[in-house]
Amino acid sequence: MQMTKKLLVRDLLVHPNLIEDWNLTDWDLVIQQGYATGLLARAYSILRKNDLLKSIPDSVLWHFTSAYKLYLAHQLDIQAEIDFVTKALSYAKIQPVFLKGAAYTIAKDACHDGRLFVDIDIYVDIKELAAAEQVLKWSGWKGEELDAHDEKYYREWMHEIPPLTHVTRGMTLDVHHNLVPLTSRVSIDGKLMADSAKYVSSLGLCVLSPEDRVLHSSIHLLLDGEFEKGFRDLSDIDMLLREFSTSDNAFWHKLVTRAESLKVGRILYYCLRQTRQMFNTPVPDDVMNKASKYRPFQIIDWVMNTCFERVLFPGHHSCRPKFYNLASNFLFIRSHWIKMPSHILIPHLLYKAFVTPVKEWKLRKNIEKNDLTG
Amino acid sequence: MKLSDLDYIDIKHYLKTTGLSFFAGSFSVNLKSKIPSIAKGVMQLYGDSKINQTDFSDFHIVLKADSGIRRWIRPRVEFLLSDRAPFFPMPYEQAFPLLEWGLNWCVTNHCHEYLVIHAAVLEKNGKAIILPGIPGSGKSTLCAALVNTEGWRLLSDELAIFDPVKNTILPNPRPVSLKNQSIDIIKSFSKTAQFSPTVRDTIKGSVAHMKPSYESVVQRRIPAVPRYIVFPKYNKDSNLGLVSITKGESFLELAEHSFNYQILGEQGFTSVASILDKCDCFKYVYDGDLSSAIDQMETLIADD
Amino acid sequence: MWKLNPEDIFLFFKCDPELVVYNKLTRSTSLIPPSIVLAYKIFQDNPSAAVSSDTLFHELKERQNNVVEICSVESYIEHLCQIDLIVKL
Repeated sequence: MQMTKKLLVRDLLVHPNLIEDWNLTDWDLVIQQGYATGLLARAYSILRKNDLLKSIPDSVLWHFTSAYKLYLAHQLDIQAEIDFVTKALSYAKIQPVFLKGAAYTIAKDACHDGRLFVDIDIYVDIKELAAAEQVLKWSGWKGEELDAHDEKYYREWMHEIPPLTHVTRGMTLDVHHNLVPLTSRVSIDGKLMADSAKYVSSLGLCVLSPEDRVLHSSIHLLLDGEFEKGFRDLSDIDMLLREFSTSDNAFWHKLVTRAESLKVGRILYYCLRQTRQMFNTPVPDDVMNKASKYRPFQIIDWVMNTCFERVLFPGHHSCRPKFYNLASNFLFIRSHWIKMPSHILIPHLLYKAFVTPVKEWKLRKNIEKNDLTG
Repeated sequence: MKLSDLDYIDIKHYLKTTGLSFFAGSFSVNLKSKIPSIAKGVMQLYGDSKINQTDFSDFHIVLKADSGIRRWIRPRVEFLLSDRAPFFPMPYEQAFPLLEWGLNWCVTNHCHEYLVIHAAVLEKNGKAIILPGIPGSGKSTLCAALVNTEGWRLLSDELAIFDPVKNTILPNPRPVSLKNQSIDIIKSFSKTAQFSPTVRDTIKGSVAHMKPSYESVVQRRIPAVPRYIVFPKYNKDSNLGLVSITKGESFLELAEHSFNYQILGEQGFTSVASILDKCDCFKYVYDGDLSSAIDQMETLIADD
Repeated sequence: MWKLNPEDIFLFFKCDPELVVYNKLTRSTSLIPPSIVLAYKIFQDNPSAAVSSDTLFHELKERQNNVVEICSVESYIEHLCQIDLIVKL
């Protein structure tokens, strides 16, 4: 693990007892990194589990407790929203598969404690999509007003309909009809994942199996091209791996086998390498060796890992590595290249570079983002 | 040690390098900026604030201007907290108001140990008046006038921070925000009050900030017990004065005026209940006559 | 017929003649006006009883000196139901 003195938020998550040696300068930095990564509430939950709250200085403690209070209030909203979505779709006899943060909450994965997320993500079969959209509309969800380009981007090239917002509650719902982008140079059979991976939690709600939860999160982390929440998402994966491997002896075997059958061996390889490096995740050597069978040629291997290493650090000046921007731009373009053929990619990138900023400027002129002026 | 013990050169130096660490109200801030109006504003309006000599700051804030070519074409300023920008950039001239609005946002978005109500709070003789107010209610003008009246202490012009454990209001004395006509009204009302330069054409019109009184800042560690809730309602044609309103009605108003009532859940409810247990509640309809408004508030405080 | 909902899911702020209620499950806050508070008190005084609109009407008439209308009583019941203070049997 890269033991850089400056990544204190990571140190707290992995070795919470270290905090007992911290001085105020360390606490000052970890609070900043906590805000930058959105992980203060998770940090609180880990310190509480390890009976270390008493080691937090008085002047610092409120940052943790307030972040956790916010998380608790948000959890109640999310749980209510999961109920509303389930009920609405049941009118069309559709049982969605909950993904990402909502899935962690429903399955009570350890990483859900202190984890804030703003959208509910669900998957429905493409055959049920029209019915789902209809019944959600009747129940008060409304799609964002998009122009023709963005609408096409979402529906044809991404794997979701444009985000829906509830008219009274204001919560956002992302409805996916494929678990990975449709037009893809990397062949991943998303349907296989959805079809055979349904797993019903004790609440009667559907989530992916543990190994699929890991793989789905890994695919999105490494292919989406946006790493603003990368450190947090990698931390999720680290926690999932630790939890599942502890409670199930066969977990590693299932994970590797599943990655092979879904043809995402290379993604698993990158992911395990990155979590080991960042969080010292206890991935057994033989598992790492099996995943390494899917590594690319040496140079590409080096380029990819070097890039991922950089972008997965938190977005805070205290721990941002050199060449972060270069790595970030490279991975951004690569992610789009993977999703789209060139004849679609280039116009899309041009559109995003030139047309979108003008539209956003116009929008800003008309609305206030935050009314904080009293 | 206070900020006024530093030279302007030192203030600018800290702002440009390691950051200026001081108490903005009850919260410790490390502020960095190369923008001259920030240095001037801090020097002018935060002079009585204590320097933070510890190694911990609650909020690490940067006010950052555009660089490169953009500097010369309608330049903007951005507010960053821990390197993240929570709002869109604003025109460069609005840097100091943006700092003030951003500091309010830091408290309302992060601090959930307290119930934070959108209200001014002033105290005299150990009794605090909470003045909740929507824009246009006249709360800020009334607040600024009271700050400049003998015996009154400012706890806050925007954020009534209620401690549900101690059942007191936490002082957060910072520059008072004034808009449009209020600026001239208060300038006439008090010849000794100090103001930042007026910034025009903001979302809310013209904005200026007034330095809080020395007594307000120096007593920042002394909490106050809430005793009255007064909802100001400016109406240029009426000076009905104080009208009693029910606690029930006030309850809903306070909940609505609170930034984090929903987040606190049950504790939000019990906090408002706790405030209302101690307070009498009024609506105050006035036509802008500040002298009679102040007399009215003085009478209210004296009435126990 | 209606019955009092168990009070442990609520928090109350008593500010006679009004009442402010917080529902812990829905996290909503409601202000109950005086006339409906009186109606609610009748339910509170008979926690396990099934109360009809007629019963409520007669009880209210007895407790208050002024006349109360049956349609008002029905609206009180509707209001109390909407905020879950009472449930329909």
